[in-house]
Amino acid sequence: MLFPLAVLGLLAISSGWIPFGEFVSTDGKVLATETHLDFSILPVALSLGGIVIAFVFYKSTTAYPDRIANRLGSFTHTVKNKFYIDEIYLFVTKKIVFNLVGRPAAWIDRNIVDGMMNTFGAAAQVFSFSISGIQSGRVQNYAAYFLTGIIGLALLFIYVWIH
Amino acid sequence: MMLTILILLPLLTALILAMSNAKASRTVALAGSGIQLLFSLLLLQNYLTERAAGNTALFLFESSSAWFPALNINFHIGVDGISIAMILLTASVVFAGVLVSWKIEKMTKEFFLLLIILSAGAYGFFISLDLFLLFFFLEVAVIPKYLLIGIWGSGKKEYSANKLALMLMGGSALVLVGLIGMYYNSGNSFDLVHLSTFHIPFYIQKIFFPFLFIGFGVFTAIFPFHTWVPDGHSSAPTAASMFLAGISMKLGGYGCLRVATYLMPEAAQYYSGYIVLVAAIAIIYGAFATMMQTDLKYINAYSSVSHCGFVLLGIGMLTKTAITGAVLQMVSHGLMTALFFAAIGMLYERTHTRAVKELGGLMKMMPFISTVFFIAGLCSLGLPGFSGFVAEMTIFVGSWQRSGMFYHIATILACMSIVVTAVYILRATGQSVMGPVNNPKFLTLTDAHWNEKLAAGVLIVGIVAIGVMPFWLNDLVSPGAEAIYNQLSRFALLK
Repeated sequence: MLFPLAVLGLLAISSGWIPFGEFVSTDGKVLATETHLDFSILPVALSLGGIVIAFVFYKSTTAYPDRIANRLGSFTHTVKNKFYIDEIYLFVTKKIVFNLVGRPAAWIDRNIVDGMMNTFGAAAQVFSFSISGIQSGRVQNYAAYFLTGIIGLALLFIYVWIH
Repeated sequence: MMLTILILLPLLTALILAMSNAKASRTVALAGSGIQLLFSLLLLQNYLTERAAGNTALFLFESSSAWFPALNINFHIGVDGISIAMILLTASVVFAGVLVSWKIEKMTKEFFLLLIILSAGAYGFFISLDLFLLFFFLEVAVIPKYLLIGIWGSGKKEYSANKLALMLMGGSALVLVGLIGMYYNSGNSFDLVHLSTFHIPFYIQKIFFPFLFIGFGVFTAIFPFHTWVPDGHSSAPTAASMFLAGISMKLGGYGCLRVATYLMPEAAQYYSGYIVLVAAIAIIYGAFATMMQTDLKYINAYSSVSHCGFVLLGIGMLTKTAITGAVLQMVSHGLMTALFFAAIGMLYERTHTRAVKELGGLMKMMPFISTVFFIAGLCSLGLPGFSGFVAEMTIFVGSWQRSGMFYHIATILACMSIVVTAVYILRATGQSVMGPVNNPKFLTLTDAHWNEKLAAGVLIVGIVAIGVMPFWLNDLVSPGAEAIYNQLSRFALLK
């Protein structure tokens, strides 16, 4: 286990020096990058501080780490539970996102959006069925429709002509 | 001549298929689709050689011959980089589709025949420079889908086939109205090159642009006309799902870009806000709707609605980078979703279930298929190194270039959908192939066969090639995207 960790550690230290901007950019041109030491000092110092504290605590055989842990009380508990990030993540995704957003979106899609499309289809079917009787094949009926249409148009023209 | 051969190759394959028996049909289909793939690579090489020699014409290998002179309809064909990218996509997906359908037993010959006819329709569509010809090939690419789902599908296949065919026909009808509107307002011409130089009056554009954009949009699952996608994809046999999501949906995106936006640039600008709004809804809504799906095919189908929303977003933003991103997304999504459906098909063939809850621990028995499944998932969620990242990143950068608070908010919302995508993809892939084996029957299952490995390999090569070396595709499609952008800029001055 030590070897892979050592390799990963070395890569973590060295990969920051690879000029990725020269290989990946949005327009094919080299992306100009520069190092700001004032920006880098704080995180590097914090990381090194953490490493030193961890080394002192876990390499020493004294009861000092336990004493500090007890003194910090609930903070220690919170840290041990990784700041409850997993619990918060599960609560937000399962209770809020899944139940309040995902489920309604899926329901709306199945029942309202898709339902609307199906209603259009059903309406076309109903309309088609309702007019299917008109196509009876009886010439007398067609003549009657024709005559009704002519009378209707004549009445319309008379109405327009009068007004 | 090369482009005519591109159409003739699938037709010749279909002819040989029609004359062959069921047993030989697999080999014929594989040879035919393989030759198509090699020919499309040759076409790419010739295209790049022409460009390197200094040919700056917008469309290369152009040829035109009268088809129906009375209506000024010509067999006018030609390609630019965008068309070449789409042809490569089609050839790859069809080749992979034939391979994953290797074990199909029911009416084998007819199945491959329809699949090859579909590819002819797609090739024809992407090379058409006459809008009537383009519409003709669009229809050729619709009818076989109905039969593929209706005959070889599963589940509520008749309902899904009817729904898909009716909705796509409805989209086609809108496209036809738009095309006729353009024809009668441009000196009776269907010629794309002529129309690009002709200024259709703005008020005419305002009337007919929605017909064309929504009509093509139905094919690319524009909200709310996307409901054929989940049912159609889930009921279709694997190869048809791959074709539907991988190519068919791209016909719509290509049409929105090449026909609606390119030929009606002022209307595209006028309606751009609406397009972006609808695209943003599709992206977010599609992603959230995917989250609650429990069937792997439904998950991929709904995620396609979301991913194709990115295509529409890129088109709607109308910047050169966003348009390039939209084309990259079409290619990327085509490869990725075809791979996803192929992997789902491989899993289903063995486990006889697509329910995520019933799967689990498949990595132990099927490491190759599970890895393919993971690669498709990681590409879908936009992991760097895969094509999805390149395409979506380009769209985001291009979208942000569009000034205005509304467009920035839409871009931010689209970016945020990546998180939702990560949730459903990691959940689906994790539950399906990781963890303990849920069903003891799964312990005897075998991994991928040669045909499945080859199919997945072809698609993965494309995905990784774009992901690792995005500039080859970017350089290929950029001039075409620039021509569309220039058209937009040119007519913006007339406003």
